[in-house]
Amino acid sequence: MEIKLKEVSFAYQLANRKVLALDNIDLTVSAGEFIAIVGAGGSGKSTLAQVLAGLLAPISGQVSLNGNVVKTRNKFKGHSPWEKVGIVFQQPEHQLFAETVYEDVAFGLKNMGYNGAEVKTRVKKALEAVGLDEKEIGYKSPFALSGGQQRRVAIAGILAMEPEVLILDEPTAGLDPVGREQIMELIRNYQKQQGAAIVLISHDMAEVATMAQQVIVLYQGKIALKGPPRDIFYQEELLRKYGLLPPPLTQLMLALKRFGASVSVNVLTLEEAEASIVEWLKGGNSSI
Amino acid sequence: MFIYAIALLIAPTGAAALVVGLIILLPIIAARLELIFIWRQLRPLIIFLFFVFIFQAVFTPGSTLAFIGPVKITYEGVNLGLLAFVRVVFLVLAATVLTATTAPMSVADGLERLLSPGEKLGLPAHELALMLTLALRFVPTLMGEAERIIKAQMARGASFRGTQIKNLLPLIIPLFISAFRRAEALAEAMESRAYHGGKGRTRMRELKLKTADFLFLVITIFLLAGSLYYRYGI
Repeated sequence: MEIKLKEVSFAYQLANRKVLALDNIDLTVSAGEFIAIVGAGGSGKSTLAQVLAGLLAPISGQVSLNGNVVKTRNKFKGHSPWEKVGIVFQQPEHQLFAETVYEDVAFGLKNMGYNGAEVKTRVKKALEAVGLDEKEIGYKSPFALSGGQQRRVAIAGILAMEPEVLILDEPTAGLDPVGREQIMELIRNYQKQQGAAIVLISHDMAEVATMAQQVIVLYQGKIALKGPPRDIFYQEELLRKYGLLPPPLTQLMLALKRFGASVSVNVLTLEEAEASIVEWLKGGNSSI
Repeated sequence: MFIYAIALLIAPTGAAALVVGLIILLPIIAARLELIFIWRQLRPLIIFLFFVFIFQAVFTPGSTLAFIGPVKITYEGVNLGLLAFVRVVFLVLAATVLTATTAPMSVADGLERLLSPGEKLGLPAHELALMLTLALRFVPTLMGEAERIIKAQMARGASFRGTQIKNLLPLIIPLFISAFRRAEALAEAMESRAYHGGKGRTRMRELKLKTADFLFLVITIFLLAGSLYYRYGI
C-alpha cells in the first residue's frame, strides 16, 4: 500500500475567509515505512493526517492510493480502497459507543462486511495486540474501563481492520508514562507483524527519535524539514524557529558540546549517547 | 423585538402587516447592515413562501378575484397568502437584525430583564437566561465535536447515509457522553469561581436603553396597539 500526495493544499473556511492549513505538500508513504510528523500547534499536522486518511478533500493537488488517483472516503459506497488505511484520532476513546468492548472492536470489521468466526478471531487478536484479554473484558462496557484501557480498546478497533497504513494522531497524549510505553510498544509490534506503514503525529521528540525512520517537520502548512531523525534533531536553531525543541538527549549532547566536549550530537538512543561520552572521556575524538 | 413579533402576528391583513413590518427597516439602517447579508438570510425562504402564497390563493374559499384556466383565485386567498408571506419575511428579518446586532450574551441578559418581574411569582428568570446562554455557547463546540466523531466513525467504515436511527448511534452516543463530560467540567469550573445564582449578582456590562432603542420600543408599542384596535376593536 502506498499513499501519495502531490502538490496538495487544504484550506479551512473560517467565517468569511479561508485559512490555508496545508500548502503544496508532496509526500509519499510506502509500505513498511515509519514516518513521524512533528510541528508546533496549528502547523497542519492533524489536517495532513486527515488528508492522508481520505477524510478531507484537498482544495488542490492529488491524492493517490497505489498509483490510482482517488476521491475521499465519503465518495465511496460499500467497499473502498481506503479500508486499508486506518486512522487513530486524538483521544480515540471518545469514539467508543457500543454496549460491549467486543461489539466496539468488531464495529469496523462488520462495516467491512466480515461476520461470524472471522470477526471473532480478529477481535481477539486485536485486543491481544493492545495487551487486553478478550475473555476478561470483551463483555464489559467500554465505559467501565480506565482511560488508558479505553484508549487501547479504541486502537484495537482500528487494528482489527488490519490496515496496511496506520495513521496515529498523538496516540499517547494524556497518558501516564507506562501507558505511553504500552502504546508505543504495540505500534512497533503491529508494524513488525503486518509490515504496515506507520504515520505518527507526536509532540514527544524522544518518542519520535527512537521510533521513526523519517521525520517531517511541518511549519505553517509547509514541509519545512524532512529526513531521518539523526539528520533533523541536532539542528537546534532551525527547530526552535519552527516552534520545536530537540529531544532531551540531543539537548544534553548539544550542551556538552557547547562546554567544549567533543561528543557526537546526532545520537538517538541512550546507548549511543553513552558510547560517545565514554569515548570523549577516554580522550578519543568523536566524529560528528 | 417581542412586541414587534406580536404586532406582526396580530395585524389582520397583508397590507397592515406590511406597514408594521416596514418598521424593521429603521434598525436595519441604524445598524448599517449590508443588503447582501440580509438577502442571503431570506433567499432560502423565498421559494417556499412563494408556494405557500400560491396554495393560499388557490385553495382558500371566498369571493372570486380571477380565473386562471379552471383555477379560481379568491380575494380572501390572496389576502391570506400575502399575510403569510409578509409575516414570515419580516419575522425572519427581525430575527436577522437581532442576531446580527446583538451578542447572544446580551440577548440572554435582555431575556433575564424581561422575565425578572416574574421572579416574585417563582419564575427562575436568571436560571432560564443562564440556560439559554450556555446552550448557545455550546452549539459550535458540539458541532465541532460531532464532526470529529463522524470522521472517526467514517474511518471505521461507518455510513451515516441511512435514515435508520441505528446508523446514527455511533455518533449520538459519543456525542452525549462528551456533552455530559463537558457539563460536569463546566459545573466544576463555575463552582470553583464561586458562582452562585442570580441574587445580588452584578454585571460586567449593564444594559441601558438608548434613545434609539427607546424610540423603536415606543413605535412598536403603538403599532401593537394599532393592530389590536384594528383587529378586535378594543
